[in-house]
Amino acid sequence: MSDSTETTTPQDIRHGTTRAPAWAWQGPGEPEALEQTEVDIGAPGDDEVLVATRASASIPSTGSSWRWTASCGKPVRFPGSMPRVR
Amino acid sequence: MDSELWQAGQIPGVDASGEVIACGANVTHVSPGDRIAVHTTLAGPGTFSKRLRVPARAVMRLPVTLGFNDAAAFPCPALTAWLAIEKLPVKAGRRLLITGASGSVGRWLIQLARQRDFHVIAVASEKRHADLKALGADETLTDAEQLDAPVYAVIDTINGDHARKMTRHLGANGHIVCIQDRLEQAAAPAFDRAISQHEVALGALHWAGDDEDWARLVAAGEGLLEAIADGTLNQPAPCIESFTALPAYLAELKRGERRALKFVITANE
Repeated sequence: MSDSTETTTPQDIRHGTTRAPAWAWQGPGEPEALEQTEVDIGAPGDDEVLVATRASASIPSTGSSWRWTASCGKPVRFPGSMPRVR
Repeated sequence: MDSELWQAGQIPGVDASGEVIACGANVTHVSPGDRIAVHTTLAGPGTFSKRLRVPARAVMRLPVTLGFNDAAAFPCPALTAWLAIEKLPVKAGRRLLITGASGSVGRWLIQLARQRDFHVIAVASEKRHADLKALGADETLTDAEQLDAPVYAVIDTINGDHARKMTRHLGANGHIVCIQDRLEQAAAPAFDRAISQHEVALGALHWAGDDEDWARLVAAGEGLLEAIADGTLNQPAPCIESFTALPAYLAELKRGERRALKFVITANE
């Protein structure tokens, strides 16, 4: 496999931390306009789980992740302007 | 569908892998410490965050030998392909045309179609043909116009207009499956070829799926993850970037300076 199987630290689990760094979308614009912030994820509901993220991704197609992100929030996105998943 | 429009502050990202650190009172099938992958809804907080709160019914447990980066690259393309192939009544040996076959979803479609004994015809640029045959394509074309006979089904990964053009290649009682968009009008006149039209969207489960729908998807996903881990099925290694590099990486994608079938942002730093 191409990456590690590193596990969550005991400290993570002990504290059940729900505040976390995240990238927030600030509206259509340049990708650099994404802002790093800290969000309160909150405790899991009865049918939910809280996850320590190890890796994340957006939609698959080359270059389309930005186009898709940039289009979100525009009224034209639904219907007829679909995210690409090739 | 105003609820689907993002507001400032929305966290992007739809796929993730990670480790469960807390469970709700009704959750019994996963426990803290379990390694999982998940696909999240476009309408809620996304995965570009170092903590996620997600429905337990949507999480897929990882094989012990599968890394987090490979797992994060998995949900959207693989599960989309699985939903698409599940639309088709399986008829061994029938000719299935896959357009955009060298993309992430296309590569999964080829492999899933071969598992179901379809005769797989993959459309992609010529430089990809050897690779796609290695995945299981029986035939490769650079253009669907090269077909020499009608096909039983088309899975189109390009767009709605392209899918409509592909319907001309369908025989009687054929199927068209649209990964992008959908056909807004019937593909053929009434009492003509009787073509069945299918639409695919992972979001359908987020909006309207019940527990049974999710259980089927998650079981299929966990099976595919096992198949990646044991080498039975192939998933291209993702391009990996750091969490802090996300905006710069998206900018490079926007300028066409980087190419990857799938990129992953690692949270380990």
